[in-house]
Amino acid sequence: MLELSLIALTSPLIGGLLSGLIGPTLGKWFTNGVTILSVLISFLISCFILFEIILDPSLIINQDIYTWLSMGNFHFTAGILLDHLTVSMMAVVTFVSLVVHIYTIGYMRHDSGYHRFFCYISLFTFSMLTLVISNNFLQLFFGWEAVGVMSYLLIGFWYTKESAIKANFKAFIVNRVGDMGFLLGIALIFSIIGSLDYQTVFTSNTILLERNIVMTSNITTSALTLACLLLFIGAMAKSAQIPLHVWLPDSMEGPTPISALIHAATMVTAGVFMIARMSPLFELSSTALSVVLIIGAITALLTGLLGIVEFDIKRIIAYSTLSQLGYMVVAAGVSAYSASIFHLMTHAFFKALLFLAAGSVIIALHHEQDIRNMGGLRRFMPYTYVATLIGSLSLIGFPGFSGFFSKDALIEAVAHSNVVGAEFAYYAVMIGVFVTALYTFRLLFRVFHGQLRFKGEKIEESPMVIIIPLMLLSIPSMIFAWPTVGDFVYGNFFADSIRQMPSDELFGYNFTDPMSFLIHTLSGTVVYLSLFGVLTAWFFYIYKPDLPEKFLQFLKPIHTLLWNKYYFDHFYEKVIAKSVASLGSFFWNFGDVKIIDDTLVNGTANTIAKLSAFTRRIQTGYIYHYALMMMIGLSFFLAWAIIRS
Amino acid sequence: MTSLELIFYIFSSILLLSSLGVVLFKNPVYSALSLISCFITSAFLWLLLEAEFLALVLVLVYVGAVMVLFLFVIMMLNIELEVETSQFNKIAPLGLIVGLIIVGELMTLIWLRSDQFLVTSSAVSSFDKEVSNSVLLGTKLFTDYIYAFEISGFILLLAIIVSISLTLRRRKGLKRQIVSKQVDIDPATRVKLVDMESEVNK
Amino acid sequence: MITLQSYLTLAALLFAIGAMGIIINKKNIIIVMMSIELMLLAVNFNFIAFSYFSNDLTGQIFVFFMLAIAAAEAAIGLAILVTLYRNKNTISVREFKQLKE
Repeated sequence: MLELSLIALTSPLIGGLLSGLIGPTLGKWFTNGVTILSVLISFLISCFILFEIILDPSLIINQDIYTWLSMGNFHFTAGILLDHLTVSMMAVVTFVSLVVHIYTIGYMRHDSGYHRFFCYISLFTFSMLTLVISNNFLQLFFGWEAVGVMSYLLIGFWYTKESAIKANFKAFIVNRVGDMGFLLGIALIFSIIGSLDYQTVFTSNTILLERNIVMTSNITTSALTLACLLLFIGAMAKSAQIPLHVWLPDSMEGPTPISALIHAATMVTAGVFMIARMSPLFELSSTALSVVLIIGAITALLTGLLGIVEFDIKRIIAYSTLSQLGYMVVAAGVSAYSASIFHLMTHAFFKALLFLAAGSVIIALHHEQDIRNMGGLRRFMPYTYVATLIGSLSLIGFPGFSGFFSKDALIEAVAHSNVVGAEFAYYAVMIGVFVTALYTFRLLFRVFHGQLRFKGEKIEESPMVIIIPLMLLSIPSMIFAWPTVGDFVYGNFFADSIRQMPSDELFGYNFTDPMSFLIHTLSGTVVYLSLFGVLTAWFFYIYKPDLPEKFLQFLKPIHTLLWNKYYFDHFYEKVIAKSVASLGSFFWNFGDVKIIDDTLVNGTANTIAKLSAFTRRIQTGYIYHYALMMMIGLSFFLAWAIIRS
Repeated sequence: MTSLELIFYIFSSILLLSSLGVVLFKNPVYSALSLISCFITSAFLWLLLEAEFLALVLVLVYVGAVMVLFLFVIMMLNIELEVETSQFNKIAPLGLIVGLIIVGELMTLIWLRSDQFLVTSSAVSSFDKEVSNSVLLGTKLFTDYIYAFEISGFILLLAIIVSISLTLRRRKGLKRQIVSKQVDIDPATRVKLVDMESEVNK
Repeated sequence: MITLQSYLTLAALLFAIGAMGIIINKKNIIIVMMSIELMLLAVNFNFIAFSYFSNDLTGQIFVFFMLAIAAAEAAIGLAILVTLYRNKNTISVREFKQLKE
């Protein structure tokens, strides 16, 4: 089992390296073949391990396989942890990666960086698997950074485009800010417990709780809360919570396959995964959980609102991702980690589906991305339309689809929670349901319904190599939840990996089977809210399409606020970036140039030059001067002889 | 004061005056002559110190050879008498001060630290009066210091060679032997052995 | 009483005058060479005086060798002087400052 998991881990690495290094010489079929084969192997092994562990839970492994560095008593190791959480994540990651690999054959067909792209996405898959499979904080951090690097490389894939370069810097730097907090959290845990191994840390979590750290004279907090907050800062950057969310919309500069893979399904969910993984720590700190909850709720609501005013098709879906990540974080905040992970998995499927469908539209319209230039495409691209429809229905939580089960379970947990801030979160997510439905169907209606606004060449459905991934993703978006929701969310599926309260306390609902859950929700408000959102979208964008402009006049200030994305970017650029830059240039001009260059380096040289110019004048060339010097020396010598005696 | 002291004081004052003359005269010939008088008076003083051989050698060698050499050189080089406004260069005051300091220090050492000398200040020497000073010197020289004696001879030879090689000028166009080239030949280029029949008993 | 000190004083004064001769000389190099001879003479005085007052002949031996060496040195010095004169056509000390930096 251990060897199989190692093969699953390293085969994307090998595929990526081979395609990157020798792919350009051997051609597209080699690259396609080797990377898809490697990810397929990884996927099949992941599924196999998943089934084995489901059948026989005693196969869970937590083992160190390599000692990287030894310092005295402490060993930094690399290890493998295979429990339910890990193998589920592995299966999801490899599945989406496989689908995206197949999709890329069609999408990047004419791109000159074909092989490089395959190399990067395979390496990304390897990094994500390393993160998921690790059994200690160090390897987690390594995977964390590695996915950050691959994301940087992929966002800036078209590196000749200036906006792409700016976007990838932004992504990396914002992630770096989060990593600072993350590292501080890891360091705090290490300094108190002395080990980075998950097992050791989780069993000593009460030690962390009891240790108090005095931050100022008024505020004392337990080390556990501080560590959880710091770790959450890392998750905030990686999973794009407010205020570190600004990089995700700009990351749409990268090609659509990576928007699907990284910024919908896998990398951004690493933060949520980390919180679920650290549930033994978070559970003991209600302060940290409240903070998580409130930030998640704010993100869920505010970023969803931004999706209503955007016109770029990928950006709308990006804001949708931000909002859904907020939902996942909210679920973690109310301690419903299983619901959070479940939503993560269903979201991976339908969000990747939506992105890939958007990519199909973009390709068919020859890289047009503005939805104001689209419309009525369902006649020309039926398969894409159906795929988008399925994804959208799953996203808004239409009863029966996967997203419905995960979202509703999540909202139930929020409703029943007593954590500080749970009421605010409840209202936020409920409004968010309406908003989600609104922007999703706004997108659908404007792109696929209505009049044809595209002025260009003939529109055709995308080739099969693009459609097949869409179909592959539609299936789990529809039916994944039916067999799994009971065990995953309400049952003991994740019992070994996640520590949370019993589900009837948590959700306030005794789950029996999906069908009765469905009927149960029909008596709640969530379904009707989303239906209302769909109707509103239909009203504004199909029934009376000229109404939105008129509304704009009324709501101008709100619209400006939304259009400028709450001025977050503005603030970061003008205030923070400017001040850091001026600090840097101060240090450069004053510290570096003046002090080090002028005074120390040049100054030393100048002083020595002046001293030596002065001293040089003793060498006059006249013998009698030299003789005088000898006499002076002699007089000193005689004086010494007198004094000594 | 005894006659010994009188002689000492007279000769030492002449000595000091002559040495001042060496330094202060403008004409180099006068300086050389003052130096000669220095040597002669110091020879007299050495006689007082029972170093007879050396006193005479001083006059013979130093005055007779070295100072004559000096005078040759002074005469050979066309030295103009400089008409200078000031005798002394700019550094003279500092030099004089340093000189006075040195003299002061030496005086301190000599008069005030005399208890540290390893010799008594006023012993009368008891060199062997039976034999002359030359015999005494010779005995010591050729036994204990023979090595230094040989080397000093060698150094004198060296001085000769150096002086000649520095100042030798050859007239151009003169035919003379170059001995080193004469010796450095290969017999094969000069001598050829030939087998011949005897001419005599044919 | 003529003590050792008087002789040593005499030698010290001679030495100082010789040293001053080098330093305050403005004329030509021959004076320098003669001052050097004066200083050597002063040292010889010291040796002879100490030899007399300590009943040891070693001082006189030393003077012997010093006389030889001084003679050799004077000869070589004058040879150098002559060569210098042939090259520069002057022996005024102010012309010889090639060692200046």
